Amino acid sequence: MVSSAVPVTVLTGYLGAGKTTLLNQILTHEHGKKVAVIVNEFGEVGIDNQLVIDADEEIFEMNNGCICCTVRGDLIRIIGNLMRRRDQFDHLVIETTGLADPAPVIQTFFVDEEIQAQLDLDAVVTVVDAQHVEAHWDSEEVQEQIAFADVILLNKTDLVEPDKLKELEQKMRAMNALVKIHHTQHCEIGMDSVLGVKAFDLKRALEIDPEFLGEDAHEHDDSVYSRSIVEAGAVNLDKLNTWMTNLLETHGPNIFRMKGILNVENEDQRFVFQGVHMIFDGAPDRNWKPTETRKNEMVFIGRDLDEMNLQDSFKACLV
Amino acid sequence: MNLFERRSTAPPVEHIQHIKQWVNDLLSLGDDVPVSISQLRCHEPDCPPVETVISVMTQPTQTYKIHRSAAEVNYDAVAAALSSSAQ
Repeated sequence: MVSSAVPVTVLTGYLGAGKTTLLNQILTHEHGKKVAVIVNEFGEVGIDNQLVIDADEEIFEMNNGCICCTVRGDLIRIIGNLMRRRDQFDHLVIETTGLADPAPVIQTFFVDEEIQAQLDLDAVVTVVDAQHVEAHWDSEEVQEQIAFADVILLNKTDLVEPDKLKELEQKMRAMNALVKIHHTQHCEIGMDSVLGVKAFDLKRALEIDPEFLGEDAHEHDDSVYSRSIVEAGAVNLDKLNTWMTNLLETHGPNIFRMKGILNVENEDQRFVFQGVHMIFDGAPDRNWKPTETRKNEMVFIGRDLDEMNLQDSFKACLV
Repeated sequence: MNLFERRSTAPPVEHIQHIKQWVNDLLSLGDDVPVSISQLRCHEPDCPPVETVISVMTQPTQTYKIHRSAAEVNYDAVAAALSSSAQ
């Protein structure tokens, strides 16, 4: 009997970027995994011998007094039914529509106890059309889909000049300091780059280009951007809790994602965390190694981050 | 709300499924109405440390709270919560 959690990949990307191409590759590639898929456009996906389920994006607002968030109610229902056939698949891919905000899908996996027990979010994979994305760059949908991505396939690179590709990549990194970007044609990519990424695994809380961490604030052209904090010292957990709780309650809608590693006063274990809007997920991690410099590192991705006074207000939590 | 408090033990998934079925039965919900169960640390004053929140996804969402851990929620507790006003 299979008892381990099912990894889940959220596949997003603007209209025409190549989501369905990638999805069909995932379904036909000989990677040894049986993949179940939840799609919004049923007819375009190869369905022979595969578990493919049609969904309508039904978004509900949940406010339980502590957390206010949006979730995909249809996924809660569909996944509840799907898990009765748990032995028939190893991995679940959820394809969103081209104009979708990824946040409700992600949040669904953090609020429902049945889903939390049975499935683990693996990664948000965003397909970006290198040839056409600039025409929609300022749209909320494109900004969100880039900001929430753990993996971006910058697709159709054969149709775009190298200098333009470099420029697009720099713009995406300024928005999302945590994302891994792959250049692709026809979404041809090794399956290990999109399945089994473990981007939401707390043990991999912060894998980031060291050059980005701790630099002075970059100029940003986009409404969505990233900011990092690196501070030596130890945090007082009560002060940190007060700060973080207030930050998420006040600015949650503008904080898309965050990840961090903390050095907690009187603790030998690192504390690792990640968040999506108001949802906070953290746990003690391994012990600090004797040779390691204990420090606090965090990355935030969102809007209006410079108005949140992140650096100074975090420093006030240090002992 | 203490974000850094260790998460209480996850409730058994079979029990969560039972709670959802009780909600379905008590409210005569159709199969197309999603129900979500969340176990949370309560932040209100004088509140037990753990509560179970039932979200019935109609538009708007109907929310019911039970001041117990999910594992301690039984049919009678669900019935009592649903008979009170939704929050």
